[in-house]
Amino acid sequence: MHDTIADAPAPDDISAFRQEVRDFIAQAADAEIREAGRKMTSFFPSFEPTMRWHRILHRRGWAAAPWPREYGGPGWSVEQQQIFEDECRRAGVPRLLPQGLAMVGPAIMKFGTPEQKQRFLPGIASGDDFWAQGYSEPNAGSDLASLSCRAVREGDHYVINGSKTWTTYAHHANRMFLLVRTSTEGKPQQGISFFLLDRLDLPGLTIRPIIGLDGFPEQCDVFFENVRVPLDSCLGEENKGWTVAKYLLEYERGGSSSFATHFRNELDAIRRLATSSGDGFGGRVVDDPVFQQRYARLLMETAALEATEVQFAALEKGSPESGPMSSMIKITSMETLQRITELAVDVAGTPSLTLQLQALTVGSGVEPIGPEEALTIMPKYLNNRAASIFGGSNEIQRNIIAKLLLSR
Amino acid sequence: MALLTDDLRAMLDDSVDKFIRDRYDFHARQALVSGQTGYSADHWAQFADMGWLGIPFAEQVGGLGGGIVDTLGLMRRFGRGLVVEPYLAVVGLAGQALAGADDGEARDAMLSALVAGDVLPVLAWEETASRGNPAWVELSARGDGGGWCLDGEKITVLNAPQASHLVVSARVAGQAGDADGIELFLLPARAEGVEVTGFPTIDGHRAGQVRFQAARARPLTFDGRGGPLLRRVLDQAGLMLAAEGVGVMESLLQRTVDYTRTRRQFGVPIASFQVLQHRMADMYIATTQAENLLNLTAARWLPDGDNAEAAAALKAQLCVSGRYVGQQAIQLHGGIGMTDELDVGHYFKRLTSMGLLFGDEAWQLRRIWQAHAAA
Ligand SMILES: Cc1cc2nc3c(=O)[nH]c(=O)nc-3n(C[C@H](O)[C@H](O)[C@H](O)COP(=O)(O)OP(=O)(O)OC[C@H]3O[C@@H](n4cnc5c(N)ncnc54)[C@H](O)[C@@H]3O)c2cc1C
Repeated sequence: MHDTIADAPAPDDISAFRQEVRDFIAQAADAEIREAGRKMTSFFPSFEPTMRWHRILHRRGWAAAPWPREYGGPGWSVEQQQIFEDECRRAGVPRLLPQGLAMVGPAIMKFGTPEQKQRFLPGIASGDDFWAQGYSEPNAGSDLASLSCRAVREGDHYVINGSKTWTTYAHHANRMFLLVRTSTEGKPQQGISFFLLDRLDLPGLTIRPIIGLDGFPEQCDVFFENVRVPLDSCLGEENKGWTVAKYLLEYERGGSSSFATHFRNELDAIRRLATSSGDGFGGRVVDDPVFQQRYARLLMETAALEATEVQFAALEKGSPESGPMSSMIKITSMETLQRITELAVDVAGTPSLTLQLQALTVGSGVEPIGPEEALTIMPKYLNNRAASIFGGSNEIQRNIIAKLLLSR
Repeated sequence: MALLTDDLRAMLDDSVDKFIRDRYDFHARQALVSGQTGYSADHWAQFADMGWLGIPFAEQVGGLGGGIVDTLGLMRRFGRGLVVEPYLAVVGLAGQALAGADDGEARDAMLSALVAGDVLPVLAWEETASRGNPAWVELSARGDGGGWCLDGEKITVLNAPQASHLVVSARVAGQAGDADGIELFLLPARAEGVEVTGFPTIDGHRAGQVRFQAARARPLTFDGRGGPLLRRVLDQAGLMLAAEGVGVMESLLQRTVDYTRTRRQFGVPIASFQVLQHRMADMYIATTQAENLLNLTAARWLPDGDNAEAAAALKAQLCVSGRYVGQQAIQLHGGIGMTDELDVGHYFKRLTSMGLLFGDEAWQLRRIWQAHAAA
């Protein structure tokens, strides 16, 4: 914490920085990018406009905000990163997809060879490449270590057989990081390797999008049938992939993005809707004390979450407390988010029941039926049921915390 | 209270079970949902043949002479099958409004056709600012030389795009929110001055916004009797919705129990994790409480009396139980629960809509308090 404070720019510079970010976003984010931001109903905004925004930010040197300068990051302090994130949320631009920037990128920095860093990091930073995360399998979800997708050495190649599932945006991806079993000896964790696939148009590799609750494809099944990949596909040592995976999961679970700002924006939108909604008795929903209490409770939860995020940011990744703390952030943030989406549905009422796939599609030009603010409310509610499932379910996170408590 | 004999009710239940089993597997249902009309006219004709459309109507219009309570066995089974045919809207809402109409001629003509499966009347009552309150009617009816003209807008009109007729609540006197001054009107869905914007809803059903501009309509009620009739109809429909909801919840509970028994993680069935066992125990409690409350409410239902507190409590319980059971069913299924391919998500979405229809939880709690405080 002290280090970053010492590094941080003076208050005057900070407000100038904020203004610079704000001005840039105002000028650089075009209508389609903003539309993608407005129509974001899950953790994964519309692919094309989001990647275009990524590339625009990259040209300004800002795409890989938390990355060190040597890998193409802007070299910002924690405070600057926070301001940048805040301004992005405030402007309503789509959140950049995390798989490259926040997941495999940091893992390559930590475990990659100089050659791998040089080969892969620039494409991640620039947004020219999109990486899908191939961890889960039909029979290996919470129990990831039991995964069975196999890679066997044959001459100068590995041959992969098996399948992955729930692979978000695999149908858009040109690259994939995946966990494969390279040995069946010892504990299940011991025979896993972390692979980097630099292309997905390989013979024997098929991708099938899965339609979600909201009616859109987001996750995919990925099938491998004798897929040959070069021996240098490993990140870290062969059979030591679990170490890499665990490091990266911690990034996924908490701390790599700031939820508090996002939640406050969502709450603001609910408040606007409640202000313009009748309560059925001639009053407004926003004046209903029951609404006010539910809303205030969510503000409280958001404040407590922010405090934990601040605490977490000050911890060293991989320190003894950081594991449970990231579990705690995962649980609290995702449950608060779910309650926010629930309140939104209640405020929107029956107009939120309208299924509007076309109006939700970026660039469709189709006007929503009913109030514009209600368009995204139901898909958000539906999609965010997944928030307590992915990235290690909330049950698994509670197991982690309980284990720590009982081991003391 | 049920009006039909136990034998007849058992026979009806069996015939619905058979229909769901033979004609309504999940894939057949999904094909209807994504089809042009959103339901099957063949099924509807079959409903008429089986006497299902006539369950709560008088024998003089071809009905079985039962009451709303006699439809609950069917509704529960429709919940299990996720049936999308507009039974609730046509028989439960518009049909009951017609059955209570003062205009005997219109009533008998419409109900005879309804029971025969020849017309699909639906009820348009909700407005932008009404939430659950059927007395919040801004849509106006003006008399002009013997006829009546409707002007205004209704939202979330269940099955509007499929309807042949609309039964519409309109204000003839007073202000939005007044319990008095509301009448019900009848007009063809394609009448001049009626504009229906139809859409699918998240639960696989259809609904619409309906705009009325100087649309000519026939009054069904007089002397302010439309308002109380509408209230009664919505409360009865709440019973039907609760029965359907119980069918949905018991299906979700069953699927979740089955799934956790077979799904293995960490070398064991996930049903062996105590936290999931407790979650399922709570799903069972939520489902069974709703079921028991439904049964008792139905048994004590006053066909012509004031059921306000009981109806509101039942609907609120449906909201609470439905939300819990739906959310936990998804959670315990993990990723697969989030997909369109598995029926679990569709049951969940049906419960989600049920929570909002005819007044959400907050609205119902407010009604309970009002009824309770007034007593
Ligand atoms: C929207 C979404 C996006 C995703 N994106 C990706 C992606 O890009 N890449 C990827 O690899 N994966 C992805 N996943 C997969 C995700 O990581 C898994 O869904 C998650 O790990 C849970 O696994 P599962 O779905 O197999 O559920 P299961 O592991 O079968 O769990 C089912 C239920 O059992 C509970 N449970 C399991 N074990 C225990 C235990 N020991 N104690 C108590 N309860 C337990 C779970 O909490 C859950 O409620 C995504 C999932 C979703 C929903």
